[in-house]
Amino acid sequence: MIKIRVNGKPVAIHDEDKTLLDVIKEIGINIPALCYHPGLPARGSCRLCVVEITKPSWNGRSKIVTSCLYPCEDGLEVLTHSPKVIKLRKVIIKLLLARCSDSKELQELALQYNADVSRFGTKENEKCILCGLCTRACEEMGIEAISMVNRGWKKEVAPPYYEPPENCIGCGACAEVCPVGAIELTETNGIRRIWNREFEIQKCVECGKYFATVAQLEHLHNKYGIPLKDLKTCPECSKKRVGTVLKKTFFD
Amino acid sequence: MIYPEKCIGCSSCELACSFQHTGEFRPTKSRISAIRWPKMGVSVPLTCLQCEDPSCMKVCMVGAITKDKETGLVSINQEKCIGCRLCTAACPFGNINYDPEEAIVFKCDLCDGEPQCVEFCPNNAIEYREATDALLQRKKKVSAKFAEILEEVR
Amino acid sequence: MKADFKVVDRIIESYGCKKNSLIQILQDVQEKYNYLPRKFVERVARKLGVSLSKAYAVATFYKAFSLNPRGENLIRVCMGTACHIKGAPEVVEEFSKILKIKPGETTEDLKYSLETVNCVGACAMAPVVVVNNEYYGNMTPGKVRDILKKKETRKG
Ligand code: FES
Ligand code: FES
Repeated sequence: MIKIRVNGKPVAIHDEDKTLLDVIKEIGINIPALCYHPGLPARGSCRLCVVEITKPSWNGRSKIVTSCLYPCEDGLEVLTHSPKVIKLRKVIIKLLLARCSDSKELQELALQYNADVSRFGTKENEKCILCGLCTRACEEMGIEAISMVNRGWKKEVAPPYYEPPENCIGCGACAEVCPVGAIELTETNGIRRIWNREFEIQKCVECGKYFATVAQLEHLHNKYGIPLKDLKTCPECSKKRVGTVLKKTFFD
Repeated sequence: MIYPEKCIGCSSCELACSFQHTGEFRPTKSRISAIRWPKMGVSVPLTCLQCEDPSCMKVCMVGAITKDKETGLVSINQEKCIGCRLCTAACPFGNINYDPEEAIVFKCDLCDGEPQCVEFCPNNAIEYREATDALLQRKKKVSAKFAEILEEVR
Repeated sequence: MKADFKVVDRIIESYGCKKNSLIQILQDVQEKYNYLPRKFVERVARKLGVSLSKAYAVATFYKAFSLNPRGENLIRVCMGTACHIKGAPEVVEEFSKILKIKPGETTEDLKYSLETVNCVGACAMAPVVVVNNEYYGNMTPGKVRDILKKKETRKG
């Protein structure tokens, strides 16, 4: 068991794999963590989750670390809202907001932390904060259709060669995990559009409802060997099919 | 355990379930549904079977779907879910659904051990019990026949 | 082209076809062809079993890689802080004017590519221009023509 203190309050931790952010969230302290998602590996790219840590043995010295990456160590004293932390977090919010001035999420944070951007010029029409959640989601899916391309101020998320990604299955997980809604996904008339590619959505062979992209179903087929024809009914109709068989089992 | 012969197709389970999970009486948000053949006077209640080797769990790449070793419950961790929705297509029984309003996938969670569908079924067509030998026997029989018919209809 | 694929394959094999050799392999390909042709990036990715998106990410991250054909002579003008304030922008402008290309571009005859870089570590002789591997310090717009003339005559 590991014992740490968060803002002076002692906390006992049983699961040693937990990060500081996990613990901070669990005990109900709210700190911003835009690039964190419980289902994906942490990367520490937004820097908003910074906290100040120290130990009695450090002779009064302290460190600033990203809590989403920092493991729980016995004896750590963690400060989530010390003056130093607030000051840094404010700068980070300002910088992010200067990049993405229209982002509601960032504006809210700015309000909370009383941060105004006047010092920095703002970039227009930018939504992405380059947190990398989408690329991580795509990677976890085993697809890797998008990645962080270029470098420095030209850095952005894109598919290779900025072309509609061939291997994308149109699952939309990237759009789903994006903390600022920067990835556009639209669905009209049986076509899903994402990353400049159009995906045909499968019509349920029973009821005609659109329910998943054909590419998603093909992916399931290729990876898990599920017969394609078993994948062509929507959940409701699959249920009905099972019901029909059950009915026969019991009543015929 | 499901007893289709006892089901009267009254929708109580669906209403109880949707109310328990969403606070609304909306069968579309229910984790259980009764498939009905009104003309024959027959209906079958269906919900997650808590599979031994769940397809939904297999296709979930971020480990948001897990099966409890002790209780056998297959559950979704909403926090971990990244919304790829592959599970909804992978479940052969159609027991995971997507809720576009909440943007989440959902399935039966056995109401933490007190299934409301069981509670509110007026005719005991759904039961929630420890598996006894007799029950397992029945289950085996039913599934054998089920498999047979499934082969036929395919 | 087939022969070229063989060359690339040989490079890949020389590193044991290992994923973590991606950068070295791309470097060798870049060295050989002066840029990274798309077919080869795709080839390398496929052979190593890394996704194209990852290979593309690496290829666009490092300044050493170029996805477009580079000219025979690579002119890099330092635009680091020291060079910048000592007049590098004018030097770039002069190159642009004579070669009729903007930084990041290559002349049509594939003779010259013009690039700007950030500090080559020789601030004492700022502004600095690096042509291939030769360094020219204390550059002025006036010296631009001399450098180009030298290149021409040497090629003869
Ligand atoms: S949540 Fe830790 S750096 Fe973004
Ligand atoms: S700034 Fe040009 S060499 Fe350092």
